Amino acid sequence: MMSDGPPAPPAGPDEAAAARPASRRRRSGGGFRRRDALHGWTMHFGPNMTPMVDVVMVILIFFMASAAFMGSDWFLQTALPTLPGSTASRPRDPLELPPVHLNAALDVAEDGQTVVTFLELQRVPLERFLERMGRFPRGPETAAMQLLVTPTQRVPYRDVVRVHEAAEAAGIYKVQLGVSRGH
Amino acid sequence: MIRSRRIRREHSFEAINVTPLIDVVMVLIIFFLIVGRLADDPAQGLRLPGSKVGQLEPGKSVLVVTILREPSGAQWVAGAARVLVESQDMPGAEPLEALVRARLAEAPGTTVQVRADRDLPYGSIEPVLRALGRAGARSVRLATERLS
Repeated sequence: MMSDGPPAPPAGPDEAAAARPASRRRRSGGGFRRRDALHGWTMHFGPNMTPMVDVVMVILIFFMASAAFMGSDWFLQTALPTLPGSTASRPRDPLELPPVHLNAALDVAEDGQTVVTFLELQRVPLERFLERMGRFPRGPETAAMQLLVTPTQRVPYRDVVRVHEAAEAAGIYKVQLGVSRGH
Repeated sequence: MIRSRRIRREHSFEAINVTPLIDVVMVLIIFFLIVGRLADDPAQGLRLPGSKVGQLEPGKSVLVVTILREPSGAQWVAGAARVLVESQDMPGAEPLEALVRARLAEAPGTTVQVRADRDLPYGSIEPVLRALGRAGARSVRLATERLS
């Protein structure tokens, strides 16, 4: 059907927006700001945490692996005796007072226990020696003392280290392990 | 028009997201580092004695002597033990002494670190310490597992 009058002028922007459905109006930006995809994602789902979690996990694993490989050991410094054929020279101050020498002899008893002879203790179990070292008087002289640990061949290495550890804990830092001179 | 521009923008945003790629590459690097290290290390079954005291610093220049428990070990040490100097097997006291002497002459400040299994008898450790003493080492550092 044709109208008689002049053709209607094109609808203005407000009228055109009003004629569209509500959803289309919103998308075309009638009165709203245009937003990009990232903004839309952020508005709907919040910030994307996945890359951050990934990176944090990788860093965590890296440091755990590094710590496992490198950082968990202690070191106990032990002097070695000067042996024939050794190239080490030991300069000594002639006015220096001789240090106090202590001796801890380690052996294995018939029942398989490690026994220690130290000062007044004669072949006592290792636990008693450790208890005695716990009561060892600490002073400035203690640091100058020298402890010679002489285990027999059968003594477990872990017990030798426990004696060394007890000496260090008592403040005796100059510990020497005895070795026989033969081959 | 607007819709197609939005789609293009979304696609271009995804194309430059290299985070997953970096993640996967990092995980692979760490995996191969760990596997390479474990496959190379003959001392992986070593159980160090425990200690609650000690020094943390292993020293600047370190020579690591490892003494492992092994049934078919070296004959020159008591017990079933195998002696390694930085992953190299030592068949006797003389090669050990010569190697350590050479290293100490080359770098006089070298610290000798002894990593020995806690279940070995002292008879397995003593020949090694004697060889180190003959080679000129004045002291050694006994590695221990750190106890809290």
